Amino acid sequence: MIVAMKYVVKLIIYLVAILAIAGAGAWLYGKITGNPQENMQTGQARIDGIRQMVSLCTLEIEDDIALRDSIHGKWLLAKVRLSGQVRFDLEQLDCKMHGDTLVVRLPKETVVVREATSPGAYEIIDTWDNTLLGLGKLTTAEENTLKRRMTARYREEIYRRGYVARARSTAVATLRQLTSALPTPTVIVDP
Amino acid sequence: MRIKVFFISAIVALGAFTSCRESAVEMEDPAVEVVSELRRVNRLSLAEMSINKVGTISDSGATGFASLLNMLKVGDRIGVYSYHTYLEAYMDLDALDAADLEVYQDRRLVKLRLPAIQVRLSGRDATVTEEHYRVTGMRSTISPVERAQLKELMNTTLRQELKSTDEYGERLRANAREKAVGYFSALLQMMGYDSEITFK
Repeated sequence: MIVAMKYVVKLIIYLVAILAIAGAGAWLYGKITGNPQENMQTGQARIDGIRQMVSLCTLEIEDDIALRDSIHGKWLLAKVRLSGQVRFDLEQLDCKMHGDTLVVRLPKETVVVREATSPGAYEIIDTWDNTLLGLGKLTTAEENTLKRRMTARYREEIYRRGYVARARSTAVATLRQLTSALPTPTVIVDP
Repeated sequence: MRIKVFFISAIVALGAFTSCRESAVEMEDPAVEVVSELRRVNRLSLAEMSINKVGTISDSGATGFASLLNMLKVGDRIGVYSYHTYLEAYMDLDALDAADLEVYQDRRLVKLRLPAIQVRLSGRDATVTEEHYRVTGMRSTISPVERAQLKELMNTTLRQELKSTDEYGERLRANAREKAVGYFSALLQMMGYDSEITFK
């Protein structure tokens, strides 16, 4: 009886060991040969809305930037391709007659910063956790916070580099040139 | 002649209100190696479409070896994410020249031929929305690398969808034409002229 039980226990141990080895082998094989996108599916694109506008884009910037930032001790290092645009809303043009002179005020610009849509526009190089156990992964909310900070920094950089000032001054100069043919005297104001 | 110059100036100036004039490099050309690029454009945007794309990281829909591997794992792992991509309809104001404007002073009528409406991808949200997240048992949490891979996959499939059908582009162009006609006819009306607006 005891001999039989020993035999059964041995058999169970062998079976568990075989299963464990097979499982580990399958996991390793999957890690080496598997495509990480096998677990991923995408749905059909859906139109969320259409916005009509009359917006003039005068300057476009595209940059590959390194995002290196942390939140709650968790770090992210990524390469991001950003696209920035300086736009003017022509529906907000302020044109007023002062005596016989037409005064046109250049509207406030809008700086639009988005991630580019070209392939590989967002590539993560490394992520790590500097906290005590060092096991945490960035959550979606944390990653989004880092990206919002990046976008805000990039928008400031566009102003700091003088791109907006350049776009505005060129717009004013060209407008002056274009309106010089008008029979009405025109003054372009950049508030 | 004087009135013609006036109209050309007025439409280009008030309509365009722009300055910069330089050949635009196609933003979407993957062959263009971009590190940092600044370009001047002369583009009048008339409509923008927001397209939502949803992607899933899930065991249940897995294919190939991943589906077999998932059977050995304890617990569930599913994450659903979405983000917006923007499609823009615009006209290149550099393509607008003096011959595109005809003024019939006696009939108080202006015939304007605007540049063709073009459509391009203007960018996407940097952030993603987490629509659903459930990781149980001994499964590992979904990592930023996986989310980035999913976003890349979503971007690839979206571009394929946009290539395969012009449904999105056509709808957007119709909106852009409507806006352009409305804007320029109102502008001319303000100057006391009726208008006939067509597109190249």
